[in-house]
Order: sequence, then C-alpha cells, then structure tokens
Amino acid sequence: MYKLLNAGFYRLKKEKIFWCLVVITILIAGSTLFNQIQHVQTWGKTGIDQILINYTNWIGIFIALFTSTFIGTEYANGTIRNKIIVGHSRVKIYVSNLIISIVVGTILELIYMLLICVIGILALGSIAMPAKEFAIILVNIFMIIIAYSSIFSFIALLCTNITMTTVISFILLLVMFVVNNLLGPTASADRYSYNITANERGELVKEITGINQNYPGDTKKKICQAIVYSMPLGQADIISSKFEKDINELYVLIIYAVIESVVITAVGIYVFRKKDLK
Amino acid sequence: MEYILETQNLCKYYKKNKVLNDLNIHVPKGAIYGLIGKNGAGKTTLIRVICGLQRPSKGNYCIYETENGKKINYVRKRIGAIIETPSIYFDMTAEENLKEQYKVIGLPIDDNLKELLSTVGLKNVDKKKVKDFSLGMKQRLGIAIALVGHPDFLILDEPINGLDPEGIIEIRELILKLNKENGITFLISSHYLDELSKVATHYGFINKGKIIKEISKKDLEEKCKRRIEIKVNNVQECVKYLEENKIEYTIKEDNIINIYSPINISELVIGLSKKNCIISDLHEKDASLESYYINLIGGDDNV
Repeated sequence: MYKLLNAGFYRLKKEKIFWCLVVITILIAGSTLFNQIQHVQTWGKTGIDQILINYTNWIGIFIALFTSTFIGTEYANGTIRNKIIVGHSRVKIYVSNLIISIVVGTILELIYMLLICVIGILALGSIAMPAKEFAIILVNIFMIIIAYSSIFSFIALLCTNITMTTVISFILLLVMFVVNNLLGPTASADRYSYNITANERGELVKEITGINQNYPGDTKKKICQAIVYSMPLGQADIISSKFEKDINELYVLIIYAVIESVVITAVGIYVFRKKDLK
Repeated sequence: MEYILETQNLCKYYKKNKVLNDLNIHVPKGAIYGLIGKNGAGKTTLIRVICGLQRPSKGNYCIYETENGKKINYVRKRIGAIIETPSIYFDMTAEENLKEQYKVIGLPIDDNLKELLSTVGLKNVDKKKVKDFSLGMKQRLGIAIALVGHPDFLILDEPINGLDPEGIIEIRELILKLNKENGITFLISSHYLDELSKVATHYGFINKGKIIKEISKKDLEEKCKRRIEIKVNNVQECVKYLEENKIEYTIKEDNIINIYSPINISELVIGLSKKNCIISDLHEKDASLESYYINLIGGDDNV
C-alpha cells in the first residue's frame, strides 16, 4: 500500500482542487479572525475556544468536494485500471484512497487551527477550556474527518461517474443538514427549562428554571439522538455548539464515528472487490 | 510449449448476455498474438477479465502458469496493458504521468523515463499537459506507461487507434523490437488486419465470445499461399505434366488442382492440351488474413 500512497501523494501535490481548498481554508480562518477581532472592543477578549472548532461545520463540504474529484478523476481518466493491472489489490486501492482523503481533511483542519492559534491567541486570548476536554474535542474532530472520508470515499469508489459522485455527495450533505435541523432540537431537548448566559470562555451556560413542558420523551429523544450522532454533520454541529460540552456525550460521538467509519468502509471494500470495472 | 496466458472455458455473462462463452485461448511465450474479431465479439471483455478489471462468471485463466486466485496479483506485476483508451492524467505532463506510474509500481525514477518517452516518439513534449496532446500522442504515452516496469507480457487493445501512418509504423517497429530484443510477449487486439499481419506470429479468431480458431503465422501462410487454381478434365495427365516440370501443386478436389509455383500460363495450357488435358477454369487465388478471417467467421456464422 506504500506504493499507492506514495503515488497518491505525488498526485495530490499537483491537484488543483486540493490547493484551492487550502486557499479557501486560509480565507475562512482569516475572515473568522477578522470578525472576531471586530467584536473585541464590544465583548472584550473572548479567547479562541469557539472559533477554533467552527471549521468542523465546513469540513464535510470540502472532503466531499475533494474526494469526488480526486477519486472521480481516476475513473474519468481510467487510471484506476493502471493500479489493478499491475497487481494492486482492490482492498489496497480502496484503503489508500480513504487514507489520502483523511489526510487531506486533517491537513485542512490543521491549517485552519494553526492560523487561528497563531493569530487568534495574540488578538483574542488563549484557549480557556481544560486540556482534557480540548484533547477529546480534537479526537472528535479527527473522527468526524474519518467518518466523512469513509462516506464520500464509499460513494466515489463505487460510482464510476465523476459528476454523479459529486451530485450524490452533495445531496447526501444536504440530507444530513435537513435531518439534523429537523431532529437536532429533539435530540438535544432537555427535561428542564433553562436560563442561558455566557461564561468567561464565551460558552453559553444553562441555569435550570423549571420543567420543560415540550419535552418529547426519552424514547423519541434517544431515537433522534442516535440518528443525529450517526451523521458526521450532526456530530460536527454538537462539537461546534456554543453550549458547554458534555464530556460523556463527546465519548459517545467518538464511538458512533468509529462504528460508522468501520461499517461503511467494510461494506465499501466488499462491494468494490466485486465490482466490474470498465 | 510454454504459454504465458491460457484460459479454460472462460465465461462472462452480463445478465442474460453471454459475452465470453467457454473461451479457450493459448498465448505462447515470446509470441505476438493477434486477437481478431468483429465488434462485440468479446475481445475487450476478455482483456478486461485477464487484467483483473472484471471477474469471470465461470471458468478459469492462468498467467505465467498461475491460476486466477490469491497469487495472481504477484504475476500481474509482469504485465502491462492498454485497454481501449490510454489511462493517463490529463492535467499532468507526459513525464509526470510516467513518474506517477513508476510510483504505483514502486520503482525508483531514473533516466529510463526519458528514454521511454523517446522510444514511443514523445521526445519534445516537456511542459505540455496531456490534455493538449493529440490522440496519437496520448496513445503513445499510454504505451509508454504500459512499458514502465519492463513487463514481459504486454496486452494492447487497439494500440494504433488514432495514430498517423508514421506513428503506426513506429509502433509496429517498437512491437517487433521489444519482442525480438527483450522477448516480450504481446497480445494485440486490432481491427487493422493488414497491420496485424505485419507483426503477429500467432492469431486467435474470436466470434460470439469463443475462440473459433488459433493458428500460427506459418500455418496461416501455408493456407493462404498464393496459387493458381485450375479445373481440368484429366487430373492424371495434368499431374504427370506438373511432376515432369517440377511444378509445386496440390489436388484440392477430384478435378481441381492448386498450383503454387510461378508458371507461364500459356505454356501450361499448351503443354496440357498436348496431353488431351483441357483447362475449363483458371483463376488466381491469393488469400490474405482478411479473406481467411471472412471465410472463417462467415463459416462459423452459418453453422
């Protein structure tokens, strides 16, 4: 697989879409910092905790775009044949493409975080959240990248048409967005009503004021939670929420992401091995 | 005889359509094997199955005496192939495409890269992206990519498509050179029978997913030898005359004789008439690969 990864990364260096995404990421980091710095006079230095993880809301779009074009090109040009003809197994081809997608997602995320850290710490203050919580969030972000990469690599490797791959990937993102919007409030509903204030880190904190009359019930909430947790977009939404994080929930998200990635990849490899390629 | 490629009752179905139908092919080591068949005969499907792009529905194939199974991928390292269209990255240059293939195979990039480009006639392409190449240039690059890793079995599906006459000659000479100097075995499928006849040492005729005939060039030439076919009323006298004059001949049927040696027709007619042997019909026959193929396929279609 080293040969396939070596070849893939060689190609990545010349891939226009990758460099476009790097530039877009830098622009997103820049505009985020600019907006936040504008509010320093009003709100004071709020630290970079929240803006550091906001990029998670974008990463799905970029992984979808990258994977559909990078892998889709292999089918469009027929170059996937070169790898099979010289004896590389279908499993290795699948996994190497998945790894490249994960690496690209990670690179983009790191570029964003690095820029936010370097410029943000000077202008807005440092990271205030506890180190353990920060570490778990980083793991969550990485797992979200893996989950997105698994899904979009699955689509790209099984759909031989680059246009269809891109369309299906973005339709899936849209579906996740709609489902998350519909089920998210139920998934995050609480038994109690709250008064919401901001803490010194800029996070929104809830203070109980009474019983929530609109609570959907435990069963309905759990079902909605399961659906939201199983979508990387839903996970990203929870991670980047302005509310104080529940550590236990973060661990659950990691487990969901791992299961999702493993299952999708296993099914993808199984189908790809049997696929007739033209 | 050692065979690089053998298939045993290879079948490939697409739903109800039997594209390969108990196909048995034998490609000898060191041969340039021409695979000839009309559109839809199963040539490209056969090549796709052998190259691992598709799984056979039934039957088996062996490459370098290794059966299609877990170990087949090891021997695939010795294969190069172009299937229908060259597999190249259009946003890269020729050199970058070759470097990519070097990395896929796991070979260090060396000076052979430039030599390879020169071999296929792509010397001065430098920074030009493949998307700006002509069809012929793309085809040449595809061949160069197939040659990366020094394969000893090359599978070429319509390799001269899109090439100009000069390019066709270059590719022909390249194939002959690689076969002679490097001992590379070729499996070439082509519609250009005339061109194929200039390179192939063996032929396989495929029709409706089956190999209907495999024949060496030598045997084919024997069957297609230029001859004069005469119909006579007295075969014995004719044979005597031909024997006396040391003229090569065969008796095709009761009163039809094929003459292979160059002869003077007038002398033949006069000589035979003196022996009361009258020629009632005379015509020259010169079977080419094309006519042999037409007769073969036509015959098969009529069965």
